[in-house]
Amino acid sequence: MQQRLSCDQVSALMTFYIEDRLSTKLAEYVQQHLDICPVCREKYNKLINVVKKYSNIKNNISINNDTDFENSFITKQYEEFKSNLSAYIDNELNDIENIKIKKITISNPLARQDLEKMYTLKKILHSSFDKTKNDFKSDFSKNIINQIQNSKERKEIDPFIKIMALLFIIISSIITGIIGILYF
Amino acid sequence: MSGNKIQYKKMPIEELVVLSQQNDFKALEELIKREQKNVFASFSYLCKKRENILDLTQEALMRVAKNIHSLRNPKTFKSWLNQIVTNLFYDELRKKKRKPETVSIDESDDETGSYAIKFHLVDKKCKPHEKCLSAELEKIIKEAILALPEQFRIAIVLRELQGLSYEEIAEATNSSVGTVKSRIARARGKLQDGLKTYI
Repeated sequence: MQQRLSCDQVSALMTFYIEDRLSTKLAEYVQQHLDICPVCREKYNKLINVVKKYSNIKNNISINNDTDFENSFITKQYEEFKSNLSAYIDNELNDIENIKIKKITISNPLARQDLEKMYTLKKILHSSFDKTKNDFKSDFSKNIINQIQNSKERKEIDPFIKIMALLFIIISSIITGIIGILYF
Repeated sequence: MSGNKIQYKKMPIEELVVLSQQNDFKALEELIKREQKNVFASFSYLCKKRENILDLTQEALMRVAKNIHSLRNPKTFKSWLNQIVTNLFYDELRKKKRKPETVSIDESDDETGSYAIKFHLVDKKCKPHEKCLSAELEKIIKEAILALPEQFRIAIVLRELQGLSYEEIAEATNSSVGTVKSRIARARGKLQDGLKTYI
């Protein structure tokens, strides 16, 4: 291959060079030519500036588009909706707040999506709870009732024993008193 | 005798509570039978140590049976019961803090074993597949809830599983309604993040 490229050849290859789509060898030749030829270098610089500007603008537009699209729904009302959504599901809001939530779910697709997600979460939680409940196979009721009844019976005996003990003490003290009086 | 039992089964909770307060042991038995699944489920989502769940359940039911006389308004039975559950759970947490954390060597073995059994049970029972939740998903949800901070966990379990109002939860956890509201909202947010792929 010829080592030196002509200006026409370089300008033909310029866009590919900028987009980095040339083979390494060819890219090297273009680089060599740009180093020597001021006309082509100027062209190259101009082109690369244009490309940079263009890509900047393109990026800006796409970012703006995204944020604009989302922003149009993320309003103050939406923020309020978000903070109240959980309480709304639980039916813990007053009437005015309830109506606010209902309104925003009709007008705002983001809010509607959030509400649906909340309900789905509730649904799967509940099915999980139900499953756990059904996994409980033992029965504590008999056992507990027996324990309670036993302890109650013991309590019923307790006062009887106390009274007997008290009587025993009184009688014995009386007897010792009588004995004491009789002997001294 | 059997007619009597059926009669108890049809009774609303409040009636059972009143009868139990009048020393009707059959009513008390029915009451425990009805609530034990509920209590067990609560502890399954609150307590990280699986081996303690059954003990805690029994202890809670025992306290219900012993103290049923001290419940003044039978209408508040549910929140009263959950207060017992919450207090027991707090006690358990305190105990845990005192003891150093231990790791059971058998734990992994035990888990795989019991989940295998669970899986069989599910396959037999759950016919409608849309409604049925696979054991795997139940496990994931349980883990997601258990991963929440304690306060959030208690609030979400009392709300979603027990259906208590914010006010009742506030009373049971000794906090304000506003706190309960924000705890539940944040717990839901965290659960939504954790269960993204299933929602």
